[in-house]
Amino acid sequence: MFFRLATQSLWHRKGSVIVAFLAITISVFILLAVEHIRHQVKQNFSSTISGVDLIVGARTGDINLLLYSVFRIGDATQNIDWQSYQNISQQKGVAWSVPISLGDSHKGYRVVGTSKEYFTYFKYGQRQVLHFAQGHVFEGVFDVVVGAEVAKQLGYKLGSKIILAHGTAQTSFSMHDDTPFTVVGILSPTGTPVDRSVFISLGAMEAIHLNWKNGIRLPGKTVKLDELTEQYLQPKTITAFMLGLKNKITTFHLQREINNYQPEALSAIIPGVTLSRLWQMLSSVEMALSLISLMVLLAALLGLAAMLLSSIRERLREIAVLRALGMGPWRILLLIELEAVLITGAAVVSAFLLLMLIINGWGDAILANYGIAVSGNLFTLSNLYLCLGVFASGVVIALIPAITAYTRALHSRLTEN
Amino acid sequence: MTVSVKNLQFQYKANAKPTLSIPEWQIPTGASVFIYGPSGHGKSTLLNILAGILPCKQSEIEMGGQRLDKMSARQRDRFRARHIGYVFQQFNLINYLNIIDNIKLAADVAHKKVSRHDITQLLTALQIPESVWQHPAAQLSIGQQQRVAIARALIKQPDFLLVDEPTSSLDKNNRDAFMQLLMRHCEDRDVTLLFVSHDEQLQRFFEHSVSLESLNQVN
Repeated sequence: MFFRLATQSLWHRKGSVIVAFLAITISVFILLAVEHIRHQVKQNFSSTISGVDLIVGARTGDINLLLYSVFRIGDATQNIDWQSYQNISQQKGVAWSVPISLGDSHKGYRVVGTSKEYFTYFKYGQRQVLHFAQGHVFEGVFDVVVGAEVAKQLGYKLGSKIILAHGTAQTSFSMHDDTPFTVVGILSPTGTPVDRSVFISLGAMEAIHLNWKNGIRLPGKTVKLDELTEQYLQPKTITAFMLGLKNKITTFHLQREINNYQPEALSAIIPGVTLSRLWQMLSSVEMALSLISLMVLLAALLGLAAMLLSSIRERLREIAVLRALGMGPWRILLLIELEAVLITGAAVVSAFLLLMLIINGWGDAILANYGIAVSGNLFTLSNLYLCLGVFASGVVIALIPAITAYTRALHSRLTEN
Repeated sequence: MTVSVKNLQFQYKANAKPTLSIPEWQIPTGASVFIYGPSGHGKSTLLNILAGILPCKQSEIEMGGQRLDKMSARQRDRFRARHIGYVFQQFNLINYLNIIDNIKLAADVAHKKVSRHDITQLLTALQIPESVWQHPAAQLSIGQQQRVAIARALIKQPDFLLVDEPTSSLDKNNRDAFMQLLMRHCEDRDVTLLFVSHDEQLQRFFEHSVSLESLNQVN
């Protein structure tokens, strides 16, 4: 009957109850969504690269090197000499090496010049290798492999002809339209920048720049395909390279050695270390997001408290009646708490279901539009704690009206005046 | 059950002039007592003390053999729930609960098991039409509400019934009908009835009547 008293009381004031309920539902939804996406982004982020021991580029900040070599953000200030690459990759402890050459783009997607080894040694997530959804690695000079998103967004299939642009601007006026490429491979989605990359061979990178000097195509010259021999296409410089070591213990040693490499100023970074440093830089944004959603939640809960508090004024007579029936002041405190708990509980459950619905219904759309892979699993321990935390805060904040009701009940008289 | 009061002294604030001072007063078991007097002379204070809402530690207040003045607040609440029925001037019911639930709530707080049959029987006896049983209390006429208030007070089979000017918002016909119902049900159940009002005309319904001024030694 006590429970029925609370539910009927809420039903009686359904207008303000629904508003309070919606406010809390929305704020809990925001909180859950932000936390969930934050978690997912962090997971996506830290799984962008794995299985690579060192990334080497021209002397620069380690975060900058990571950004352009892995995330395809920004540009390298300088290239490194092919000879340096050769020297370092032929050292004893090196198991494998993959060169990367950047600088061109295709409709906003970065072009990565690399070797076939990229598709063998580059790993992401839990040491997952890249898979070909269709086709295979580039064989000929004008073969191209595209990431999943590139293929999806631009509608490329095996055999599609594409033209690369010089430079990395989204709209480029200088096109490599004298040297069209053919799509020979499409990669499976990874949720990493690989999805947004266009891969060609290092030789192809050289070939399309044969008639170019200082970013301008030399007039009157065309590439004669039969002239393109292996030797002719030997690159003179690359942007960066990735290294895998035979023995991980030698990582720091080799890193120090590369940083002190005499013929040229180089930087070597350990991807995992730099990734976590980069994430720390982003953590203030992450904190701000969490803080904002917490504030929204607090506002909604205070709204609930205000709603209940103003209801107490209307309910003084009701309190007097309950007292006359023999209900103690503690029971009346509990009654107000129960009402708050019912609203908060219903709101938490609704917010949870709403988020689940959205993630399951629109998860693919979120991945396609924002590149965030959201998993449908909301039943995590941290979400449980979050919901319990909201619930507990609701109980605590509802103490404001509940204690008011308690004191009113304590001083309530069995008369009108 | 007897009510027996000795040396009742009550003031709202320490060192203030006492509101009530009753040297000795008794109500025999099953009696119906009418207390009249103008408003503001302590009628409601007396009811609040006897109901255990206002603590009155320096006095001897015995109700049905139990000393109210020696009980804790919690014990007084429990005593009120189990043994005392209370009817207000008006607005006796929880507005948003229906009639049946209002009555159930009283039994529930008193921890008394009550069947639906008990409730409907009582409602019928108090002439509440079945058509309104499921209605929220707010939809009933004042006369109906006051009768439901009696039903609610009686459902837990109290030993005492404290009634505070229940007829003040009823017209004469409704008032007399209400009084007759109340008196009959109290007699049937052997409830000790204490009824306060400023309306001396109601005296005729009671076996005992006393003016508060003669009872209260303040002044």
